[in-house]
Amino acid sequence: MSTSNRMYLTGDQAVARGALEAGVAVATGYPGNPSTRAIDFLLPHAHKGSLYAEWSVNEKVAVEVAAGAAWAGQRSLVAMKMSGLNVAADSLLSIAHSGTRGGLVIYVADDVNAYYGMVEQDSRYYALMACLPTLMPADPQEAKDLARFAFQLSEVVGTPILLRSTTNIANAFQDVTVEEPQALIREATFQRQPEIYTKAISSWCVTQHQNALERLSQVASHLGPLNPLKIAPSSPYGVIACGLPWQYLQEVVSSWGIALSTLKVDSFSPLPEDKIAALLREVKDVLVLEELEPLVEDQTKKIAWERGLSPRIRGKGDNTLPRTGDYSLEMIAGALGKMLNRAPPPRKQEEVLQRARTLSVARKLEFCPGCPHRVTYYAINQAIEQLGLPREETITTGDIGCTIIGMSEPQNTCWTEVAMGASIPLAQGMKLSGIDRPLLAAIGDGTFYHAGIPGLLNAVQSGVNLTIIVMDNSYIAMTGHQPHPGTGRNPLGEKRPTADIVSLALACGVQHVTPVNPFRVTATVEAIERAIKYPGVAVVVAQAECAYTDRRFHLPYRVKEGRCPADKSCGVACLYQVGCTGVEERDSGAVILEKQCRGCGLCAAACPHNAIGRDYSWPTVKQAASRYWRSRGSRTIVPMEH
Amino acid sequence: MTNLVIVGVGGQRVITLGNLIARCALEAGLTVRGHAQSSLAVLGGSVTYHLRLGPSYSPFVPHGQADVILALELAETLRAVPYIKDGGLALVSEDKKAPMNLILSHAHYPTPEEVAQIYRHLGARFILLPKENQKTQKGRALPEAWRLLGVMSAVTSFWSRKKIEETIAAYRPREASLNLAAFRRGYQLAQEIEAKAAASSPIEKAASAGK
Ligand SMILES: Cc1ncc(C[n+]2csc(CCOP(=O)(O)OP(=O)(O)O)c2C)c(N)n1
Ligand code: SF4
Repeated sequence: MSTSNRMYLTGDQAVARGALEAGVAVATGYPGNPSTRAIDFLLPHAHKGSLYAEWSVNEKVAVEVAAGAAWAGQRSLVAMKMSGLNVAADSLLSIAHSGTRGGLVIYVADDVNAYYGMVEQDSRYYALMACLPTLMPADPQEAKDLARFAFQLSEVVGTPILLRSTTNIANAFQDVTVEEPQALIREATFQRQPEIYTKAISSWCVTQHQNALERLSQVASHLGPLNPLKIAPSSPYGVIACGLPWQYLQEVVSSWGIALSTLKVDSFSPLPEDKIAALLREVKDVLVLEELEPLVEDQTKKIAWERGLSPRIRGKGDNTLPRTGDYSLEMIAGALGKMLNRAPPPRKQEEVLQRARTLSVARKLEFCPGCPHRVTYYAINQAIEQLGLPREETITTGDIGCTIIGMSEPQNTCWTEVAMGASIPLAQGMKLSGIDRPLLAAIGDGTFYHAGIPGLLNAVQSGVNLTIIVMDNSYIAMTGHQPHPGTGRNPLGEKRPTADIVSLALACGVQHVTPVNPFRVTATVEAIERAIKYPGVAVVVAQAECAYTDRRFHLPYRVKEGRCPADKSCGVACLYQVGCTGVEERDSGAVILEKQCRGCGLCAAACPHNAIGRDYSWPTVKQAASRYWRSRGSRTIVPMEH
Repeated sequence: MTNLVIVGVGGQRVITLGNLIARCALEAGLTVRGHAQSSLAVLGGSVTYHLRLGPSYSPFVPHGQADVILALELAETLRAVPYIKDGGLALVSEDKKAPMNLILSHAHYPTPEEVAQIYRHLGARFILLPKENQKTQKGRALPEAWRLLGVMSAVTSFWSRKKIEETIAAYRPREASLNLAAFRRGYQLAQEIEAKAAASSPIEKAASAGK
């Protein structure tokens, strides 16, 4: 969306736009909210020649590809969520110590408040650990400007730059003032300099470390107008703020019409120490605003101590603000009000707000209607029961992605979720600890390619008895259906070779590998039973496309006339054992909502009365299909028996 | 300065609607900030879109300052309660998307009256849009998001009807006729609601309650 030189962009997209304006040539990343839209934004531009963009197989690979391109002289961007930075950390540190030739910008979005359900972490620690210059935008405009600037800075000083954002900036929208994208035509070259690009000799490693620190201090002199300091001589109060809290502060200050001294911290590393000292000299009382860890706050205390300054420093240390979760406008107003001795505004109608909270509906993650994972988990549960194993004692470790919805009701199958690929090694460890009941690991296809394979190799070599269910829905679904090495196409839709999971499992040394179509419930249950009984590592690959991407016509199921007994002695299994919003319980019995039904047939499989089916006449099928085609433009019918 | 909060669940096009409103404002020369939060669930998770039309700093609407709440799903309307302004307007679709966890636990799903009461207590006007099963000639249902937009444009005076229709047509040309049909139906419905406000059928009671 754009009007003249303004574009309405999210913070994520703005980073990508900044990279385009800087002439980025290679962009890599791994999907993970809230960073996904950066690469998404660049992909359409990758059609146009001077830019290559990809979803890499994992974040470590993404950083390495981007660094390779930058070392050969091009500008490159790599984007990921904070969990990804952990995966990439080993290479990140090594590359940071080596430095770079072409501009290398690493964009990471910290999910403050864990909206997307992973470990809440402050990635600024990596800035400290890797001697990485780090910039922090406060809104989409700054995300765009800082991304663009980061490429220049990176090349001037010869260091990768970390651009660190947070969920609420990545998800913010703003009409951003933009400039023209540019295409830099550069010849790629790379000279052999083992003392810089290898870690083969310890003295080289130490020199690289010294050089990285040296580059960090050089960056300080190239920051220009960043880190603006404003002294209000009339006020004894000051605020140091970074990231989104700066925007909240501005909002509060402008609505209260007050003046105080402020320092906005744009560069976390190196910190503008002299400006912090300058502010501390002018005030008696200072509030530090930063989400998560009190890193700027602790440095502020250190600077005050070193320079013999003693204003009161408020923030997390004195419990004015929390170290977990995100800040809000209201929290910042509260903290500022406390410092300024301003009475908080009367909390009006608290009981009404409380009533709204009580009445509101919590929403847990649930599978889409027609999701193949739902059927696979149903089959796992059936297999466990049919083998006479107690459900509540049979452990299935879970993994990242839509597959983890298997921990929710009514499946209740997954017991653990750690990090991508952890399901298999966790299960191996539990086995080794002496749990002798059958143990299963459930993992998605994207996760399998990302970090699942080493765990599988490990399990095979250890000789444990383990059943691994790989749910292959052709996409990295949960983050927005990005392709992976098994999809057969790159994100631009161009054909690519597929890395077949069955062959990969065989190549890892697994002796018992069974591909199944999960929608054939009975066959899937049998395959899982055989896998559980197999003494050793057994892999079942449940192959069926994600219901959300599958655009083919699926004939809906329906309850057969007079077959569903209204006494509900079956406990309405089609709803309560299946957990699909396409089934509705009415007084008369179950009803299938035609519009919602994606024809997976699990309700039919669960019904003990055989009351659900698809006995349509051929003309009805044709009619329904052509209605569907007209509305959707899809031309394939999925065979009825699936 | 106009503040809006749009709520709904994944798949209801909350973000598309928010982006379209932002575009109307941008074309009217306003600066815009916003914030859209969706959940990990591809379908059915809560989605909230804050919009600030005019000069602002925070992407979030401050508590008690939303001029309009647009709710595409009834229960989600409750999530927007802290933001409504005294004298603000809540336009609420009757669509219910009960999550599976609620169905399985037989928990209570709020009634329209319960939700309306909360808004009225806070001095807001609450308009519940009755379900209509109107379809296009091709048998396609009118998208609720655009019907809601139609109601909003009739009840408020942010932009002219013509302006919004032009923006809808330009925004997603392939869906323009469907979206416009829904928008116009919403516009008409709002006029019906306003016209009948004197008499006292249940809808109008809701419509004229509050300030
Ligand atoms: C290290 C890391 N990178 C990225 C993510 C973000 N992420 C969350 S869910 C998910 C999708 C996993 O895809 P897949 O295994 O194919 O499962 P599906 O969603 O398709 O069922 C990803 C990549 C993460 N949680 N951790
Ligand atoms: S997006 Fe795909 S994998 Fe995820 S719940 Fe929906 S159908 Fe299942």
